[in-house]
Amino acid sequence: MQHPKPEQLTDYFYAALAPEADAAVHAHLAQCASCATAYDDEAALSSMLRRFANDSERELPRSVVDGVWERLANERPKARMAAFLGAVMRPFVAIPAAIAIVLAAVFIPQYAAQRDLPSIDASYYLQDHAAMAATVPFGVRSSVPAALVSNNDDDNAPATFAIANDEP
Amino acid sequence: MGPRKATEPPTAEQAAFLERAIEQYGKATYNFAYRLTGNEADARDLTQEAFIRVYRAWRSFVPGTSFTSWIYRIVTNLHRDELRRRKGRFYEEIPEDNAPQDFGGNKPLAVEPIDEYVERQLSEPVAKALAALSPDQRQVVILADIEEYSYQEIAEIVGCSIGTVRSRLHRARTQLRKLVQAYSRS
Ligand SMILES: [Zn+2]
Repeated sequence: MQHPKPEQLTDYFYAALAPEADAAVHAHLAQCASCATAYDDEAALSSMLRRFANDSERELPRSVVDGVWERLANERPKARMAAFLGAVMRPFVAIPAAIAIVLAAVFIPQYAAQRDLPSIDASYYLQDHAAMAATVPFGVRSSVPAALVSNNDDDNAPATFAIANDEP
Repeated sequence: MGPRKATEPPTAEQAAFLERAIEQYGKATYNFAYRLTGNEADARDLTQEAFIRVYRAWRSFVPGTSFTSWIYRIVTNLHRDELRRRKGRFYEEIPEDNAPQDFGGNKPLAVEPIDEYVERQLSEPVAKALAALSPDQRQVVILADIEEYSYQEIAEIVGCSIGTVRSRLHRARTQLRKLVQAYSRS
């Protein structure tokens, strides 16, 4: 073959040539001193870079690790509050709740007065209505609205996040 | 396994994932970031931000695939965004395969065989030469030579075609030879 182009030599060095081209360059290098020298130069450039990398290797500063956890700790409460408010302010929750409160405030005292029933503290009903309207859409009483919790089964599945040990 | 909502509260599992990721890959990630940026302050910021992303997106990591490739891709993207941000409205395109950032002049440099200076004290000239490459060239050189990734893997990490990896690498290596020699003499 002709002398390979410099790009081909680089590709050969990185084992990025197709098998036939790779074999041709391999055969050529065995019999061409100038191309063999050029190839050695490619290899020397890479080994120089690797040596530089080894010599200049650094430990991970503790401040980076601490900074990651610190930032996550700071943003967590905000994220939870935003999620909760986002759920409560959704129209399908907020509107029925508001209507229930207004209706309760208007009709319960009238109803009580008409029937001349023993006086019952209306605020008890107000609280109960509001609480029902707020909690029923979520299904369960918990600090995290059920509507926000993914119901994917695999959320409860055992951990499957093993990190492959794949040092290149 | 569907993606989680961003608002979902963190779990112990998620924290354990992050902890193990930092433990196993923190140093490599920091070194990669250091070589990309060329300075410790930026490398610290980049590494920290990368692990925050890992934490948030932990569900999108596919078990059995290379975690290193994944986090290097995150670091590469963050670095690119940061360069764009710093260039502000003057940013058009990160210098692709054009002249190095820092190394003045168009005058050709004499080429001598690398063997002749490879034994000398090299850290400083190599560091300077790497710093003088364009960011895109520096990325592919680091990934190909220091991290020893294939063209295909580099293309996936950087987000470009294999042909682009190949041409960037060739030009980067040509530049590097000249730059290392020039800085070794000075
Ligand atoms: Zn030849």
